[in-house]
Amino acid sequence: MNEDPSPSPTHEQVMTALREVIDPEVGLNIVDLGLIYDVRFDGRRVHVTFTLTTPGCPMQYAMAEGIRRAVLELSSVEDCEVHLVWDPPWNPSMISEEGREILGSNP
Amino acid sequence: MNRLDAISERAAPNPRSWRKEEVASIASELAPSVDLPVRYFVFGLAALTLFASALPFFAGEVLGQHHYNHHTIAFTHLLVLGWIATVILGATIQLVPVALGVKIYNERLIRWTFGFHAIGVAGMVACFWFWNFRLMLWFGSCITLSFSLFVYNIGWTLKRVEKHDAVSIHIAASLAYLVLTFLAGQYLMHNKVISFSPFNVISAIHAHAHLAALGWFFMMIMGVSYRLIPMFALSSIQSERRIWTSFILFNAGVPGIFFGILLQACWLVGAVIIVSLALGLWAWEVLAILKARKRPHLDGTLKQALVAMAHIPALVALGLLLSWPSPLSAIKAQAQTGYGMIALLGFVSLFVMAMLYKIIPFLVWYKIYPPLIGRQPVPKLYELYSIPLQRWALALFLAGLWTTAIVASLSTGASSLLLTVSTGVMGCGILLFVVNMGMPLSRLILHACPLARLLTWWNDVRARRSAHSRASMP
Repeated sequence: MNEDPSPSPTHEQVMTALREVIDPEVGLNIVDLGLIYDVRFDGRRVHVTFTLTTPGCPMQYAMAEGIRRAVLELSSVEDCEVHLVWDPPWNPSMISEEGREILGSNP
Repeated sequence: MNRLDAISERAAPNPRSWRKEEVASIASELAPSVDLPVRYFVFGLAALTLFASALPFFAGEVLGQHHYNHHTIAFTHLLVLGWIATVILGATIQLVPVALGVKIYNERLIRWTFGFHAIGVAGMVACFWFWNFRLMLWFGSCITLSFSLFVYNIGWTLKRVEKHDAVSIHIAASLAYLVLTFLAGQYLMHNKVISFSPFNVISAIHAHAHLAALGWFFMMIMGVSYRLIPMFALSSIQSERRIWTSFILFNAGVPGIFFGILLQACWLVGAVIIVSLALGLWAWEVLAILKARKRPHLDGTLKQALVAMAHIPALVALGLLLSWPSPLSAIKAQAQTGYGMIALLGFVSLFVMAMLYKIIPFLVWYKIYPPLIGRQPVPKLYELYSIPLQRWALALFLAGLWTTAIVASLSTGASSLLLTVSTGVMGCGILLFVVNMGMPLSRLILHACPLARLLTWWNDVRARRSAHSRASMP
């Protein structure tokens, strides 16, 4: 019997890992900033769909790599594919309530 | 359906995707190489340091008498070309790809552009200091060549923009004024060698200065503020109509001011009123953007930008006073010095400094930290410099600037000692700002050092080990 020893990743685990990635200008993690649009699972492979605050932002490659690395830090994840979309465009109303609280405490 | 599901349903069907092999080689398609804008910023900061350190020693001569003397013109060009123009060129190279989503047309050309610019500015300031106009023609030609290459490069870059908006149109207009500014500068330089101009020399110099300050600097600041202020405040444009009305009024008023000063026309005051209305609409829009922000607190950059904008009413009042049709008196001539200081230092320099608190830390962050995202905590931009130092720099700068501007404006032959002290206080504020910018820039130097790279690699290994041990814990 060929049984996988580690369980499949959960949505919660992936979102927790993604909270480690911050937008350096705003000083807020990309989950609470509302940049993560979708997380889907294909077995132990994770697909993350995200956006950025500004089209043409030079950080798109850095953020894509950061997201992929953060998700791959989870031992239950085998591979991660990241997708950058501009539609719907990000707007400040996508910031979570927790995000607004964190922003309020930043200098 | 929750909020995330609703967004993911709307997400574009053909997104930009990265897999392991693509992401592994970080190479930005849009952003220019970090060293391109950084070389402009370092040169600009060096020029500003020289300006702030030297001005107190010559304050009585430079600010206490009429500004048409070789040392005042040398200091003015050190400030305008060495600091403001250089930093605006660097910021344009950095911001155009970000703001408009296009790659710079020719990056290699920027290296040549910078070389000609640096040689031209250093030589021109020295020639003004020693009042050598024949030699200045050569250095002036270097600057003209540098500006021409720059306009050519950014012009072709703007041509690639798929959908033009207020930001790209403002940048295009400021480039047009840049061309007119250096043509006017060439005219003035050649006129000093072979006198041919029918215009009054002082009026021609003032017209040239207004073309540069209003047409190039103000226009660029207004344009990029429509992108940067919403980005930093987490807000959005509030009224397109207000922006375009301001743009039309401004472009109607600036040629009016140029020809009004050149011809010493009585309708100059009308052009000043039109430009004042345009600036008022711009300030109104910026305040509306800030009012609609989602970021609870204004950070140091936005506060400093607002302080810079607070100089506009004083600038408008002095502009109206000086343009009012009346004979030129000694007091009026001295007030022109205060007017120039408030425009170039109080508004333009302070606004540029505010933006550099975002731009320079970002460039350093972008050069050093992307490989560490997701592996270990990376610093936020405001952690790369000192916020208390920023406050002290601003307070000293404002105290020194306003004291100098008032003392220099009120009397001919103002107290040299008082001007030395006040410019010294302003200089201390400027030097604190330079030190603060040196903090993130020094990380770039450390990053290039092999030992520092080894330490970064070792930290990286340690962070990965601890992450693995955390993941393997039950």
